[in-house]
Amino acid sequence: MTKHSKFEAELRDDLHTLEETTGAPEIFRLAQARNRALAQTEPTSGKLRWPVMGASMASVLLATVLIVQPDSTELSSQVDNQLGTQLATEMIIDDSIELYEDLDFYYWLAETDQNGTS
Amino acid sequence: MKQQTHKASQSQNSIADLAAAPLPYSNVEDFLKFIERRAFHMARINTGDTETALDIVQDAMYKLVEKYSHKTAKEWKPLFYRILSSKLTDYYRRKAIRDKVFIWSKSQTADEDQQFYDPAASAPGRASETPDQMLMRSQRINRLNESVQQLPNRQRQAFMLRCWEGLSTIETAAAMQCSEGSVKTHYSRAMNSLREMLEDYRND
Repeated sequence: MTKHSKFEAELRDDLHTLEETTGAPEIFRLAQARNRALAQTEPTSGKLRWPVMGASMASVLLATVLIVQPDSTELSSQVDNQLGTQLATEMIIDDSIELYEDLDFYYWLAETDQNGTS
Repeated sequence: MKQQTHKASQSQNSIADLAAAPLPYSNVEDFLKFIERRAFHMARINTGDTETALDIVQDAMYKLVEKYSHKTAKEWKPLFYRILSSKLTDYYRRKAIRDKVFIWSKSQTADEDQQFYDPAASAPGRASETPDQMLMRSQRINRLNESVQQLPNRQRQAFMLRCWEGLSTIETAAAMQCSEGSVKTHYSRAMNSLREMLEDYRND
């Protein structure tokens, strides 16, 4: 055995000793990691697949119906919104009428000034 | 450069063609049991931190099971070490960035972990060894641990895969994703450095 290979063999021997003396907590953690990694490959049971899918779809449908269907409180709030919009519209219309009436006055005033100055 | 790329690709192609002695494992679970302790210590020496090493080994296990459990048993070991090497490379890059940004907290936790981690502290020793021999072995292992940690990353990886795991140059090149020539260079330099650092602890 050459000197180089003897040195390698000694190092390898010490490293194997290091491996053999792994602490119990680390061994436990490694076993946990191994089991978790292996668990990701376990196939799901085919027997339960369809009932689970059916229950999931039923839940989705029920949730959709509940969300889409308006209830009484929603109806009343819609009515309130409509009334509010109507009132606001009427107020705007009233304001517009007054504004138009004022505009006639200001036009008359402008003409009077022009005739006076011209 | 082209020759190195060609050689690296040849190394990859030769993984499945490796002549193998009978393997001590026939399924993925047995393989992981076979390799986990060594992988942990390799990662531990590379990172200087027990928790980080456990995380890296777990990630490597996940990746192997997820992506390569369908491969032949001969291919698992080189594939696992390739994954481990990649994870360690990612760790070095993140650490380099973190050390640049948080320069005031550089490697504090890793240093503390190294101070208190004694790889041979729990060693029951071998039945044939005397207490003095056990103590000397413990000191030698500690010194080896420190010396290997001082090696540059690539030399350390080449040393662990070639010397500790016993992979061939081709297998090591595949795991490290480099050419066989690079593996030989890294390994030779690692051995020379270790010999210089450890000559006081060896009975040459």
